[in-house]
Amino acid sequence: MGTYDDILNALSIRIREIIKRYVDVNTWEGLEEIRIREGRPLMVIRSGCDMMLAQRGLATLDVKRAYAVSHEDICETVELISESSIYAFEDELKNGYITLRGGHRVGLTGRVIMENGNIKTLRDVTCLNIRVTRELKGVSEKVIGYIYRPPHGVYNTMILSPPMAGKTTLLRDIVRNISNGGPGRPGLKVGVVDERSEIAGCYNGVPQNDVGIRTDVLDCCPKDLGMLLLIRSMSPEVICTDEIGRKPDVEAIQEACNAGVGIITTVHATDINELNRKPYVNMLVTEGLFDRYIVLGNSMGKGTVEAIYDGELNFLTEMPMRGDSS
Amino acid sequence: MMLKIAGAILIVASCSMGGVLYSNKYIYRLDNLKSLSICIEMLRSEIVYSHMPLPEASRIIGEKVKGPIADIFSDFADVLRSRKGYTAHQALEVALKNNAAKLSINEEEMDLFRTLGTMIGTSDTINQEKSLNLLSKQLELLINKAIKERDKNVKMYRNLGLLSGLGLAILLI
Repeated sequence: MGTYDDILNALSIRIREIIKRYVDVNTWEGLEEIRIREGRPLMVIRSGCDMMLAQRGLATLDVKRAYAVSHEDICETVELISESSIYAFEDELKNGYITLRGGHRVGLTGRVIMENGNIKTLRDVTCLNIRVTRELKGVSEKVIGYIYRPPHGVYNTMILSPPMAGKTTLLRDIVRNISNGGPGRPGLKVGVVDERSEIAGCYNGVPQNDVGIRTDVLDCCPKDLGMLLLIRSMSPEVICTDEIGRKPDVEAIQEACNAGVGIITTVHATDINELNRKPYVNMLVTEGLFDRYIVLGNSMGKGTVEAIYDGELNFLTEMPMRGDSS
Repeated sequence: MMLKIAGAILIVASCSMGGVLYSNKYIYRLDNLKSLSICIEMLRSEIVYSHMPLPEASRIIGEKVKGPIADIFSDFADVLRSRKGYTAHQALEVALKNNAAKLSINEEEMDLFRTLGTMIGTSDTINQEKSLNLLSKQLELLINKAIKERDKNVKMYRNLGLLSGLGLAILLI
C-alpha cells in the first residue's frame, strides 16, 4: 500500500518542502496527482480539481505567485524516482512510466529517441505526473458471488469499462479476494500477468499492493508470453491480466481457456455492443469462451457495476450497484 | 657494553620499523586501487547483467568485498537508501568524506573515484557499461603506476630505514 512518504521521497528537496507544507500525512486524502512541468507552475490535482502551489505550500490561482519548477528540480526528481539507477528502468522509460516503491506510478514525457521504428529511450524529461495509487479493498465483494464457480473455480470473466472507471482497482480487489478465499469459498492459486505494473504495483518484483496470499505475479511481462509461462511453470487455477486487445493476447487466452485455467481480464469498452465491434476480442465473445461480462461505468460514481451478463449475454443483475470499500 | 649493544639494537629496530611503516603506504595504496577495480567490475556486472538498482548493487558490493573501499560502497548505499534527497553524486561525496581517513590513495586517484559518482546511474545500460569500461582502463593505468612506485619505493624506504638505523647506531657507539 502506497504511503505519503513514498511520494515525498521521490520528489526533489524543494518540491518536497512545498508538498509537505501543502498536505501532511493526515490531510493527503483526495490527492490524486502531482504534476511537475519544467518552467511551469507546480500543480496538484486533489478531489478532481487542479490547483497551483505557491512557495509556501498554499494553493493559488495566480500563475505569478505559483512556484515555477526549475530544470534542477526535474533532474533531481528523475534521479530520486529512479533511485539513481536510470539503467534499471530502461524498459519502463520506453513505456513512459516508472512504478515507485509503494505502487504509485510516475508518468514521464520528454524527448523520445527512436531506433529502428521503436522507442529506444526517453531523454530530456520535462514533464512528470505522479499518480497517487490507493487500494480500495472490498470493492469486489458484491461481484465476487457472480464470478465464483462452486465448488472450486471461477467463471471466465471479462470486465468491460471505459478508461478511469476503476477497472484495474476492481480487478486488483478480485485478485485479492479470490486468492484469499472467503466464507464458503476456498482460496485459489492466482497467477497475475502484470504487463504495466498496475495490478500489483511491483517494485523490484515485490508486490506493493495486497494481491492475496496465493498470488504469483509476473511483472512487466507481455500478456501473451506471460500467460503461457504461468501455465507451464506455476500451475495457476486462475490467471488475471489487464487490458487485452491485441491479437496475440486473444490467442493466448484461447489457449489458456483450453488448458483448464480460469481467466479474469479487462477490456476497454463501454458496453457489450462496443465489445462486439472490437477486432480480435469479439472472437472471444462469439466463441463463447467467457461466462461472465461485468460492465463498469460512472453512473453512480467511479467504479459502478452497470450490468453483469452471463456467457449467452443474459442479464444477471437488475440495476447498477456500487461496491463499498472497507 | 651490554647497555650499548641493547641500545644499538633498539635504534636499528625502530628505524627499520619506521622504514617499513612508511613504505607500507605504497602497499596499502595498491590494495585500495585493486579493491576499487574489483568493486567497479562487480558494479558493472550488477548493472549490465542484473539491472540492479544502485543502492542495492552498492550494498551487495559492500558486503562481498572487504576493506575501506568496500566500506565506502556500504556507506554510499546507506546514504542513498536513507532517501533524504541525495543524488548519487552527492551521496558518494558524503561516503568518501566519511571514509577519507581510512584511505591511502592520492588526489588523482580520488578524482577518479569522484568521476564514478558523476556518471553512475545517469544513463542506460549500454552507456553505463561504456563509462565503467573507460573508468576501469584509467584505473588500470593508475594501478600500473602504483605497482612501479611500490616496487621502487618499498625497497628504498625499507633499506633507508635499516641503513639510517645502522648509521645512527655506529655514530652513537
